[in-house]
Amino acid sequence: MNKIGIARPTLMALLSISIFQLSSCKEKGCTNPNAVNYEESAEKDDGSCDIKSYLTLDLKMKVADEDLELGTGSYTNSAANAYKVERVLFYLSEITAHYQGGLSEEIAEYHYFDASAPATMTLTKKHVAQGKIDSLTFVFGMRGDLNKDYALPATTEHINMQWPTPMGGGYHYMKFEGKFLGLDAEMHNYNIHMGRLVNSMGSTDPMFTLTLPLDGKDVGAVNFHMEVAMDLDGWFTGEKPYNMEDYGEGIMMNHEAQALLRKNGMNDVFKLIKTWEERLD
Amino acid sequence: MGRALGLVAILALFTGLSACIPPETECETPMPVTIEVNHPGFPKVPEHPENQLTDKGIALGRKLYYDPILHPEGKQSCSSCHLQEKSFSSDAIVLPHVNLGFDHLYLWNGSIQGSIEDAMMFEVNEFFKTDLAKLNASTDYMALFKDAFCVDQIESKHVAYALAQFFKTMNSYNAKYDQYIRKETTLTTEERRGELIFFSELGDCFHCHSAPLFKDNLVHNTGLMVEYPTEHDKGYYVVTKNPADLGKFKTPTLRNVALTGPYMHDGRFETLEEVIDFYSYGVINQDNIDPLMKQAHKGGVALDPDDMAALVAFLHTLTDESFLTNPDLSRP
Ligand code: HEC
Ligand code: HEC
Repeated sequence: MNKIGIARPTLMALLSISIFQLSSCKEKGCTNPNAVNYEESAEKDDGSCDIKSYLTLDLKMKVADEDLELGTGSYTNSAANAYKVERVLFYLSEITAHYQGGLSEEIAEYHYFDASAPATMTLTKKHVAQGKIDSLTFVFGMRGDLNKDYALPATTEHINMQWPTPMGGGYHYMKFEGKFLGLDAEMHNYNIHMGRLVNSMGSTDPMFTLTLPLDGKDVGAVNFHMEVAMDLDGWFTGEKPYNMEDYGEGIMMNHEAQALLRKNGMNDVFKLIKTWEERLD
Repeated sequence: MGRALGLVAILALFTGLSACIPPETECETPMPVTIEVNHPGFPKVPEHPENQLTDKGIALGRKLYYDPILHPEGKQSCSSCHLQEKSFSSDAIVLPHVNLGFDHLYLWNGSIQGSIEDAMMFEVNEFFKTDLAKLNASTDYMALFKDAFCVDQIESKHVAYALAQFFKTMNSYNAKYDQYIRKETTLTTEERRGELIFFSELGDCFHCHSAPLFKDNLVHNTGLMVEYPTEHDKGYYVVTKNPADLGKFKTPTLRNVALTGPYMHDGRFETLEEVIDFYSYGVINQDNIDPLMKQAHKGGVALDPDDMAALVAFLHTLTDESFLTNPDLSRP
């Protein structure tokens, strides 16, 4: 309502005043904010709280199993490029937990991660089914029907992740940027930008789906955390290492680089670190 | 049903009169309005919990924008430096007022963060140091503020809110480029070439000047300088005191950019050709240059003369005549 603090003797204002007055006696109900039937107005718990499970995905940025030091850490990849990391922004989509017996819960249709913004690195789906969880699956990048121009809400983050129409449209799957020391002994910028490239040279989609096994963990009325690493080193390692000397500055129009990153990334970029349970009652 | 409602209303009337409603002069809060921007990919005009848009609020903001009463000595209005025919900019380093309601980072050095309402609070309180007594002494303004906000005493917040409402209507999305996106017109071959350079890593402009606003609400070091002689040159460093933020500036929008020269935070370039020459060959590689400055180690993206001309031609498609002459935004 208008907080400028003025009398508004309209019917609406009067109604809300009267409702407030009618309901101002002590109320019983579920007072646990984690419960499905939590009542904000309840002041006394009546034991009716119905607590289901929560599922939380915590993304941890790593380089060769060590925590990423954004902006400051110095790293060397398998192609012997010495590099620093300044920005990592990416999407996962269809983030889904699969239970024994065929049930599944979608944790998020898509999610935007920014390594410099901790709040974006964790996501929770509340009030999901309880049961034994076999696996976590997700798509690296943006699932097909979401990967088209203007499919996501026009927030600053999504606008800045757009993949321009002349190169196929949709969204960047990842922006992984920083500097590396070139063979010419100069600092070079690198921009590992992945996304679906469509141009006169053809079409390459570096998206992939991953399954992380969870061994039938029985999840009760808890917040079940799945800690998953994105290990940046994994983008470089593979049968053919990704060498910044070859692809350094920008690869958005480079089909070969997109395909190589997909191949390298599928193996060892995403790893389950551990799972743990947080109490909800 | 009707009777029940009536009863509640009567009950409310009693309780209300007896306790809750202070005995003040009555006034009607005007009907809220929404600003629709019908263009693919355009963000929604942000809502502020305390500042609903109303026709009266917008009209009041517009009047204030053009009125030197906001200036303590009555010397200037916003419009003295922010001229509509120049996308509300002028021949200096004045940032334009176009699609600013969508921003959450303001001024060249990004020192104001928050909503357009917050930015207006700064303009009124810190930049202009508006003398509220002058507004409160004006029967004309007293009536207008009462109509818009139901207040008997004008506070700086109300001035800022009215201005913010007007800013939320200063939207440009009808340039030739927009019409092309909406498939209402076509671009020339040269403009299309410029579009490809802009929106690919050939020129790589889009990563920071992101469509459709042609800005990204972030600060970047573009390798314009390596020494920062003045406080103004230090950019975002002024906010964080972190040396890594030296020379980082808010990405200015490129909407109507053909009219907003001279360019850059210090106005060092007179023409768009000079700007593109800088991005091609003048970039200075340094520790905190933004990674998105492609080929910085070679001085820039090295466009050839034809491509430079194509890029300039494309930038001209961002001029929106209907915005520059929009009667709803002109001096009332
Ligand atoms: C004396 C000239 C002058 C006047 C008068 C003036 N401005 Fe400005 N305005 C500027 C300049 C110069 C800048 C850029 C300053 C900077 O960023 O360091 C600017 C920037 C701004 C910005 C930030 C834009 C952005 O993209 O971040 C806003 C908002 C603004 N002005 C609003 C106003 C309002 C509202 C008024 C009237 C109350 C006003 N200005 C009056 C010169 C002026
Ligand atoms: C890394 C982000 C980034 C990239 C990439 C980038 N810009 Fe900019 N642009 C900026 C910033 C930040 C400024 C303000 C810099 C300053 O004033 O010191 C700016 C300023 C400008 C200006 C001056 C606008 C004004 O009102 O003063 C123009 C024109 C411009 N850029 C065009 C381009 C073009 C064309 C390209 C591609 C060749 C490009 N930019 C690439 C961030 C970027």
